[in-house]
Amino acid sequence: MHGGGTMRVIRSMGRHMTTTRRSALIGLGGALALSACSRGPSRDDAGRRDVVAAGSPAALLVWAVARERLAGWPRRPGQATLSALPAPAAGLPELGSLTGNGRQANLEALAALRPRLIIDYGDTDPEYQALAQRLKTRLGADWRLIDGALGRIPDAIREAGDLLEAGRKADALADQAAEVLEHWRRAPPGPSFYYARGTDGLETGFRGALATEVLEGAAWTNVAEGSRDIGRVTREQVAAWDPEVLVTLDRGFAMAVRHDPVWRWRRNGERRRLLLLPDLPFGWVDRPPSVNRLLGCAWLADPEGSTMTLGALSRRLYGMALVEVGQPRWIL
Amino acid sequence: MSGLLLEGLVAGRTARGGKGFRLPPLDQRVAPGEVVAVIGPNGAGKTTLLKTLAGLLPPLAGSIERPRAAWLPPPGAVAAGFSVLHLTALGRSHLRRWSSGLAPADLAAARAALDRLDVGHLADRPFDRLSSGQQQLVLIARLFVQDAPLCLLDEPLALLDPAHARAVEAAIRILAGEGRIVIASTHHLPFAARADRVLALGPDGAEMDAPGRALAPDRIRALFGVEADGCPCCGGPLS
Amino acid sequence: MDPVSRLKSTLPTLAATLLVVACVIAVLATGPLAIPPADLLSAAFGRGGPEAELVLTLRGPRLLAALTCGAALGGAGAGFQILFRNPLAAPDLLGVSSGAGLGAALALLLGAGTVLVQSAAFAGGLAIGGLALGCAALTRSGDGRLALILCGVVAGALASAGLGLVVIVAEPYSQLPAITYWLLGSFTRATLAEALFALGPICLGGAVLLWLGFRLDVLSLGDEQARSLGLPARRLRLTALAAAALMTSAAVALAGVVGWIGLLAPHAARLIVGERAGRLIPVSMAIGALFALVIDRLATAFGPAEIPVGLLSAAVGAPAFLFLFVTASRRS
Repeated sequence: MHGGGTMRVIRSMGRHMTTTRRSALIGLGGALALSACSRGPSRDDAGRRDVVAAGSPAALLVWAVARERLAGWPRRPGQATLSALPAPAAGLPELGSLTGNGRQANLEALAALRPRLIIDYGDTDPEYQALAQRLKTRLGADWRLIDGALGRIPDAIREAGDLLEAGRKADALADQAAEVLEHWRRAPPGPSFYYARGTDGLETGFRGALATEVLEGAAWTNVAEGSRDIGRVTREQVAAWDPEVLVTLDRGFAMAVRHDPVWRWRRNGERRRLLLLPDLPFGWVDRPPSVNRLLGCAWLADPEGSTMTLGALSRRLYGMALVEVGQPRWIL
Repeated sequence: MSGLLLEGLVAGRTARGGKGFRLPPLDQRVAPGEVVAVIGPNGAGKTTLLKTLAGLLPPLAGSIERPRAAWLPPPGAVAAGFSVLHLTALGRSHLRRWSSGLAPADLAAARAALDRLDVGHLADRPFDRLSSGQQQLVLIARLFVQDAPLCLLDEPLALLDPAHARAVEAAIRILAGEGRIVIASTHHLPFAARADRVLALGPDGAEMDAPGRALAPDRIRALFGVEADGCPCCGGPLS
Repeated sequence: MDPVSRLKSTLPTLAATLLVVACVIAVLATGPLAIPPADLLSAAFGRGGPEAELVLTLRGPRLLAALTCGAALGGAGAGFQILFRNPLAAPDLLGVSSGAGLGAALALLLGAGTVLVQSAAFAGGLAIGGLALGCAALTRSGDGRLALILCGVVAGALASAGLGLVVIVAEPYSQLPAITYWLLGSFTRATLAEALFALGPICLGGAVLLWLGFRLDVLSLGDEQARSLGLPARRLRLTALAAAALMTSAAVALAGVVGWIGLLAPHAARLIVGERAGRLIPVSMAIGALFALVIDRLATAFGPAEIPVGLLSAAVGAPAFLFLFVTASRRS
């Protein structure tokens, strides 16, 4: 898509990486870093990259619907993620977040990019509405907040498509998303599971949490019962709950516990199954809570026969073929 | 017990931004059993000299030949919450290089020293609950336990009532009587009058003399700048 | 000393130890997995069923972690309070906790496994503590207490600033919660290997402090007195500080930042056995271990989610400290 700009992109990748690390170390060098970044490679696209994502979920939505208009990442994805995305992804600058999660954007530098539209995707909290209004007056750009609920992803995609004038592409994706969610809701009951987050796996989403919504919606039973949110538990508690399956996005955790009897042995003597879901380019069930979750929904609806769907979905969402981004693995 | 030998000793503090000072060189010999009183106006350097003799400060020039020394700061400078007995027994720390605690023998020695100075009944009280006079007697008991041949006391009679002052002075006599060298700085001139020798540190030099000569009125006037036919601090007779 | 008074003087230590043993048994015997005590007992001798073995594997390291951390923080706190002659001195005086937190956060930022995180925390704590000690040694002022406190504050502040930087740069959906939970403290995430790994430095530091005993009393009289009494004051003080820093570093590396134990345990011990280091330090260790056991029990007493022990130690420790303080001042 960016033809002869490839060399420029590759060279700037190096510059951007050191700029990002340096700016993190300086800490308050937001303006400095951003002004350096905005002298980056997309100069010839400056007129076209006019959409700013307020947070990571919104960035994924814009990337899926109209990736050529995304001005930058709220938070720069890791190297592994960038390798799992098409080349232009690495060339985008880091702009900072506008929603309060992570490094805050420098509003002046952001205004210098002259964005026409700011999209936020997630909670439709009245508090955020007020924030949206304030930022709209300060940045002079139109701010739109799209409902991030999992069940309303097709609507969200269509709304984004309207805003970004990417109608046909968005419609195709929205239709596929609706189909995926339909199958997902009708999935046959699955096993009981414990969702392990983090390298030690002791952080989990309790029943009703956003993190485990994809698994619970596919009729898998979350053994963790408590607050409807994320929390820490002990290994003994997990053993007491005795789930059939351990689900994790963390490769390190999976490798660390694959031979650990404390995690793998169930009360009836059987071996507990361990499911490692792909994390690249973005998690299939979590991290961030955005359109990436569709892949999890598709696979859970039909683990055996969803390869085609997953391939098409992955290509539409990210621009990469599925074989390049990994498959769920049952760890022995 | 061996004596104290000073050869050209220059005590003082090195200048740090012009705040240093030097005492005049001292060539003295003090025999075991002697009590030397150090007198002089405030700021003359008495404390610095005592600390140098005790090995706590390095001399600026010259040499000291001395046996093991024990140093006692002025009353009120020692604050400790543990018991009198324990504090006194700590005087034997120099003997316990590698063991993990004090031996019963140390506690026995402490108790004996306290009894000797008639403060044995305070053995189990916390040290910081005692009066200044009692604390000073306990600390001198600790000097006995330390058993150092050279004892340096900084203003041992300050802040004490006459009864305790007399008891402390008696204890100092016993310390010296057992063959130790006792060098004590003081403002209390009657005590200096009863010492064996007096070292006067003044603006024009340091002189060691017999008390009679060192405490003569003209010398006192030259040293302190006041007329005194009695002790300037308490008015008592000088000899 | 006759046998009766010898017994009386060791009575507090004895009572504290018995209390600790009783609490250990109580903690071992209760938890989410219901196991009859007889099973547990036979498992302790290697002849139990697999479930009882599992429970021991789960509860044992947690117990060990709580005991060693509590004892380490109690002992280090007592040592610092004696050395600095300040009843408000806490194990974090030299910035060791902040340094350990920084080390762990950096390791978590780089995606390291739990063993590396613990090692990084240990190294970080020692580094910052060493920095404080080194800077203070440069000043060469008297007994250096003020210099130590100032350098400790500065070193700790540097570490905290670094930590703040890491928090900003961390990925908000996975790394940031992990760092936050690590910092808030937990005894349950330690495996047996990690607990044993921390045991080494803690035992070493504890042994040094116990051996120093009466020498700490001498040091608390001031450098000049100490040297006059025939002790190498500077060397001993450095040894004591290094031992305390070692213990604190290992404790924080194992369990995260658990405050108030190091402040509370010496005060409680002082009320029971007085000011002598020879008795204060062991009793303070025992009380610290007890306190850690209590808050560890409380951490999982309110539902399946684990309350971080750092929060509990503040919630329980601060009022307890106030109570002790009032009692002590009423008594004097």
